[in-house]
Amino acid sequence: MKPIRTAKIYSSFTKTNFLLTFAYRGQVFLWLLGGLLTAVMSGLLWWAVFKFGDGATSIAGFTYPQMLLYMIMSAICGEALYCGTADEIARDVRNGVIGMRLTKPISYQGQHVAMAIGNFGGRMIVIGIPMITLGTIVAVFGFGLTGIEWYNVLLAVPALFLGLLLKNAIGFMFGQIAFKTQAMWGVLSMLDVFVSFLSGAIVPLSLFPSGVQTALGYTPFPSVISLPVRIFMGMCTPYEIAIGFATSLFWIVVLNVLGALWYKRSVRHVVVFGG
Amino acid sequence: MIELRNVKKYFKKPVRGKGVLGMLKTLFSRKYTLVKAVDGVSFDINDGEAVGYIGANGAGKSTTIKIMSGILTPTEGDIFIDGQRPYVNRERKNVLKSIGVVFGQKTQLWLDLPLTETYDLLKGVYDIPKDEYTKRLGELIELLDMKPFISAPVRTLSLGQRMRADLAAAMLHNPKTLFLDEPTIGLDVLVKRNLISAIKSIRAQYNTTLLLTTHAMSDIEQLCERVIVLDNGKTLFDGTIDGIKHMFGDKRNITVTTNRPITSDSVQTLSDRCDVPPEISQDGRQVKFSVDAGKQHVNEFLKSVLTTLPVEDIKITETDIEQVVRTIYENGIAPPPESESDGTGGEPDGENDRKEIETDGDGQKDGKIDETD
Repeated sequence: MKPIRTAKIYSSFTKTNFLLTFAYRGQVFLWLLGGLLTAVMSGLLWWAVFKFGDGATSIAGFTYPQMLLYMIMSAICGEALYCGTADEIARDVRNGVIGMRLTKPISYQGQHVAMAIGNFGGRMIVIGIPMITLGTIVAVFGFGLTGIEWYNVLLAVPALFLGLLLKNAIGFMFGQIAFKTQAMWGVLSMLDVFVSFLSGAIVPLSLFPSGVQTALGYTPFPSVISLPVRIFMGMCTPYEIAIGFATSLFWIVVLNVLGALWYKRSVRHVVVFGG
Repeated sequence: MIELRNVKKYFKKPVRGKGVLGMLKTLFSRKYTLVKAVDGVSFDINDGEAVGYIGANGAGKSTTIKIMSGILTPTEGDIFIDGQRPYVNRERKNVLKSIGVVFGQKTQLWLDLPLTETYDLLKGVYDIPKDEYTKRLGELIELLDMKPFISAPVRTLSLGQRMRADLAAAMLHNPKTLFLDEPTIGLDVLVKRNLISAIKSIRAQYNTTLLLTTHAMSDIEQLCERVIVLDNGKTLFDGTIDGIKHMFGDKRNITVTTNRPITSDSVQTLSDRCDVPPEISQDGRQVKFSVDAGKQHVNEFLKSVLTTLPVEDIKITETDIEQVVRTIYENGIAPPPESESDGTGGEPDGENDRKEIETDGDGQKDGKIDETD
């Protein structure tokens, strides 16, 4: 019964963060706008590459409709998978709220996992599902994209979820830096660019040299964006999917264990004086 | 029961140089100052007891509360709350379930959510059964008069409302012990009075053990039976409210207004019976005496005043706790031998005990000493 009780406790945080995504109308509108703008700009950029390239019909294995949907999907998934874990830890430490969090008889790391899930759920409802549906309709009916199958769409859901858990684990680890320095803006920006680039959110990873692609295959990054998007688009073989899921699970465990160990050391730096 | 045994908490702070060059040097320097935030504090608090924990800014009050509530780990010494230590992983959860904490300058509420959602969240965190939760929340809403804003987002609450909401959040799981760190800070007189009366009611209803830190002595007088004074990380006094009031003697301040100016010669005989020389106002029409009621009868002294001086009016006040505490903060404790104080304090070291000792980083091998950034 203990796992059920534990799940019940942490589900409160999931619910709270799920509700928080709907707290402000302006915020929802800006997410939609952000995702849409990124998708449109990437679409136009790749349209120019295809048009003014030397007549190539595919680049790094992507036709233009595929590239268009890839860029739309990665932009939307980037918004839906936005995981503020590192940012929240930095804020908690800076504002001294970390103290209040530590007075609760639950795990701070667990809280963040639960909160990230709630945030993901809310964002998927608000922007993920509508925008992905719209992007797919545009790519399929506007540009003649083929190869989208219902089972791939279903498989993309757990892949996205694993991507979220990975992003949360990475965020939790890097968030610990906030215990050491207040200059977190630079750290968080660097982390964001780094993860986006290596996860295939900016360009498909198939554009990278093959050696780099192989090396990246051993890291957690492709599982964050590239894997779920490629599964959705039917660009992965069952073997690649199985390997991708196994790699994701492996890294989720490793990063969370490392995060927990680092956190144990970090809390010793909570040395706030007075009020 | 809360037991503190020689608790110490030291921090290492890097020595920062002045100016651009100094800051650059800091990047490569291994010099630290050792700050003794809490330096060997020991006391016991029994179940149901209400204790005021006071001291000047930086005395170590909040640090002690943070150690007791599991936020910080002591450098040395032990804290037991019902036999369990809040900073030991396997004992921590049990301790945290049995305490409630309110920091006046921090909130545990979720700012963007309605208050009820935060309470729902805490219900989950503390695993409170539904019936118990509904009953207790109802009681707290009633007691703290939270009905008008129970569904409002926390961000929109006034400070007084937010503080009441925080107190309810800390009490929701019916903790055996409540730590209140400056709960009335920034509140207006009326809100403060209501909050104090609510805390009183909560204590009466649930027999909650209370440890209160505040700079408002009136809060301590209204809520606590006992007071612990901390200075430079050390305990200066631990005793009853009456004990601290009378620690420098059972003083009466007598202000006499006369119908014509008087000189110091005219109060000479009275002056010999006072601990400190009387203060005569500039116009010579008012004189203040401080008399120790433990050494002489106040009525005898007043008779002498009436016969010696051309009295127009007399005002007598007892030394209030605020005055005593101010003296302690300024001068430490130096009780006269015949004082009936039950304090445990002694002479302060003269120097600042929370002094910052410079070290080169190698000097402190103790891994428990925390570094600040």
